[in-house]
Amino acid sequence: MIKQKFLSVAAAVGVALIVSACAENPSTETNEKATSAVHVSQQVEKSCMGCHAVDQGGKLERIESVRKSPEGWSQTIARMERTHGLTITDEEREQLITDLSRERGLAPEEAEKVQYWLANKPSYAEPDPKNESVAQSCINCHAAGRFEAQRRTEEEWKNLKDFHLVSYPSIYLNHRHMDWPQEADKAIEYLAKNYGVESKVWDQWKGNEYDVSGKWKVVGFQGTKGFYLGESEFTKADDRYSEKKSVKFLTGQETKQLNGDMKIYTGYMLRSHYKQNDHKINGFYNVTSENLIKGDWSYKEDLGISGEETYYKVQTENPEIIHSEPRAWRKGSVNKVTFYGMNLNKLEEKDLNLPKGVELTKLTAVSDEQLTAEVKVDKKAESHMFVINGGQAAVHGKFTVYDQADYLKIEPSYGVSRMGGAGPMDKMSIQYVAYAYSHGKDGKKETEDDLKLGPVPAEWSLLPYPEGAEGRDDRPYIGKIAADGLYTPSVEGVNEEREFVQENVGSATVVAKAKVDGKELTVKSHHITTVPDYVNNIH
Amino acid sequence: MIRRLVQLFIFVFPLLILSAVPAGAAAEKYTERVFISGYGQIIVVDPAAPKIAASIKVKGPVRDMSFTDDGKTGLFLANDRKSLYVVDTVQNKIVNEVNLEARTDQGLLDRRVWGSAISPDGKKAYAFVTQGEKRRSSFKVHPSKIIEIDLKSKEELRSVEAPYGTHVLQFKQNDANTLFVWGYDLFELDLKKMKLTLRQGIKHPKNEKDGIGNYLMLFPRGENGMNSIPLMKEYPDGRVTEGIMWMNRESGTIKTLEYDREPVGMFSAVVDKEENYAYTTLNKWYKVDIKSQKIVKESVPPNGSLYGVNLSADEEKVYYSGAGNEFIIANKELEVEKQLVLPTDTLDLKVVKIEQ
Ligand code: HEC
Ligand code: HEC
Repeated sequence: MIKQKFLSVAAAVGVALIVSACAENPSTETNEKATSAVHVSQQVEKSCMGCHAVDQGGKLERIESVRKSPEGWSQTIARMERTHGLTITDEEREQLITDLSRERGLAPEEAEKVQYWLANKPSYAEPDPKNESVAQSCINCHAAGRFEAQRRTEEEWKNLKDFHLVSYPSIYLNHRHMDWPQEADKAIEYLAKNYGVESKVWDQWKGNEYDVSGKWKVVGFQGTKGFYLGESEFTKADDRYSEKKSVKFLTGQETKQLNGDMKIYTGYMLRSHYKQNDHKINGFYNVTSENLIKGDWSYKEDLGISGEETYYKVQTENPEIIHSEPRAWRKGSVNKVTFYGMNLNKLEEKDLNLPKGVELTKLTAVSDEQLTAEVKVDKKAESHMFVINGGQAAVHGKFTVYDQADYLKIEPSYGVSRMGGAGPMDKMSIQYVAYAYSHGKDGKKETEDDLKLGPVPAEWSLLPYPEGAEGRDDRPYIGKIAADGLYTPSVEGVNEEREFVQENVGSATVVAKAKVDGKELTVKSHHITTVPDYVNNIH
Repeated sequence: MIRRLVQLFIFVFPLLILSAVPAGAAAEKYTERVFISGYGQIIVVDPAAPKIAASIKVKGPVRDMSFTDDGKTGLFLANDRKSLYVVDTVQNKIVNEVNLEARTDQGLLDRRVWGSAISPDGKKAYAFVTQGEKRRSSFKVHPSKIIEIDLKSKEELRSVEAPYGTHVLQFKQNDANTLFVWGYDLFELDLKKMKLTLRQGIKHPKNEKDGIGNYLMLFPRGENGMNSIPLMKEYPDGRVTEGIMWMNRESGTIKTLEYDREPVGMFSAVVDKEENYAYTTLNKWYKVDIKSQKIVKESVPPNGSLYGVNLSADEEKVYYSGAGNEFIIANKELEVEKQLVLPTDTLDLKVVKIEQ
């Protein structure tokens, strides 16, 4: 706790320490500017050239040596404003982000790996950086996504070391368990090799742009509420879109209407802002082809209320299955399955190439968008995950044949919620979901061939952490878990009721119990409720 | 940070004042004052009452505090580590402010102080600075160094490059020509030759079998002749211990002890002159018997974590402050005797004998 607090304090102080060093001295590179092509855009030239000159190579210093996501550019510009004295209007800021992301952005392949960071997914367990020095020296203050979502020249990677040491000289002390400058050199060498500014995928992508106008079908999943289906239509106006979307949970009756305003950055990064009743929702999507959009959304006022969504372009030609419920089919039984999609009246049994031992015994059309089926799976069929090749039909998603449900896992496996909602800071809830798993072919738990069967309804509860620790039980203070797994933290600030800690922070063990295929399964995971994200320029 | 107990203090406070015994210090030739680093102010406490004797306004949180031999002048670091304030501790007035930022031909040289000391005679100040050059569109780090400042002219007289990680400068007792330089390891600066030499490896010990030492001396001690700090040690076999490291400022001898407990991460420690007992603080208070290396008494701070522990000038009481807005006087059995509410949250406390 203390250690964590110190880090964030150090970072906060560090940020406050930065002083505007160069508000004066505007650039005098007007000759250069007149002779060379426009640097990124006219807006960039207007806003940035007061401090960023054109270098000997004819590039705009710093700016034309890096590539970033719209989120990355937005953070850099925010620092130019906050600590260096850049003054711009909201419209200018938006124009800068648009221009910079278009000219100096990330290719789809580059962005895919850091989608979790771009979407700021809550409680996401980032994979450990492959390089030991990066793991040692670069991820104690912010996520690896922060730099893995950038491409820079070798010199620009090197500049980061000086930037950090000048901005946050406390690094020498809060990283005293290592030699930070040395470790950072090694980390930077690795990053320069693997995240260089030049790339084929970018050269190929740059200049392309998708148009998403038209009608789409939506499949989504929100933890605690399950899968939902919806309809959407995008309308283009200038460089923006508006969207009307309606969605309905498979288990619910009510249809929700969302109205959104959105824009495509770098030709494919769709950033959406919705209103749904009183909620503001932000979406971070990628258009991955003419007929597919994939992404994540979260509430503006509570990042923990979030979901994943896929859009499929509406077409009238061929049958297309966009969701199936369930997608895990048990061996030795007849599985009742519902398929959702488009033009399903045209679907024939022969369209679906199923693996050996899996047989479609009945197919009934409910509507052009919904079919019910019976899928008989032989006892001896192979336990595995597969895709269905549909011939005429397109079938999205992966399917699983399994023996039995053997265990559960909770996601997130380490839940971090944040107090809030009492002052300017928002709270962050957690949507806990229990997933059923099968041991797979080898009959062993937690091995590569284990099969994830899907989310299951569970009974949720909290135990004190550490279990059995006498005199310590944070549960009465830190928040509550609802019947559907939604964890809501308590408010921030002083809690008069609580001795010593005096705030609603702490830990608990989350327990999920579920009956799957007639079997009682239980699993535990760790939960913390911590302070709000006060230093929110560090992610 | 201003915590729940604040309310309670409002009721307890008048009682404390009524029950306070008048200072007995007059019999001796010094006035005892406790200097507490607050936010935007140096809080001067008369511990005899206890009461706030003065509150000296500075910019930002107060960091290092050091004093001349006679205790009549203090040097305080504040203003985001950019300014050193010279304070007349008799009048409790700022007499001088030295800002260490400088210009280069390409921009601003942002210098931050991590460790500063006033010379025993009060004529000079020494400061370890990290240096960052803020150019028009980039930042460049420059080597860190110790600079010598003439307090009258505010001019930089000499300087020497010093390793990063340094964060405490402290004069050798009765030797105005030697500065101990505490960083990852302990160095010694010969002020005659302005030469820095390694005195003892702590993070880089001669023999790794002795354990790799790790400490953060944000709370140096030494006004009683003993500088002390909690020390974590990591051994080649992976074992991690917690204990105390202390140095006799006159001889320069360093000693360490390790108590037989799970490390809990203490922030500061104070060792008495006779080297009989040590006191440590953070979420818990320990009293450690130095000979046996055993924790002989432990207790819990009454209102939450405290960073700083120190001993009264006569070494009869234990003082605590740092973190919240409180100053606590306890007896040597760690029982709280008096509490004083301070105007701001705090960082550390120094006990100074001001000659009369
Ligand atoms: C008032 C001066 C000033 C203005 C105006 C300014 N910058 Fe900067 N910029 C700096 C300074 C100083 C640095 C180096 C320190 C830092 O990175 O914060 C910097 C660094 C940068 C970097 C390197 C950061 C990194 O490590 O990725 C980028 C990129 C950048 N600026 C982009 C811009 C853009 C885009 C604009 C115009 C919208 C702009 N700057 C306007 C002063 C300025
Ligand atoms: C002591 C904490 C700390 C450590 C350690 C640290 N960073 Fe950062 N880093 C920060 C902070 C704070 C910012 C945010 C600066 C701002 O306000 O935009 C940042 C920003 C960044 C940025 C964004 C700069 C921009 O303008 O886009 C990159 C890239 C980055 N860090 C890379 C690294 C790398 C690589 C390492 C390891 C060598 C590292 N960081 C280690 C604190 C740290």
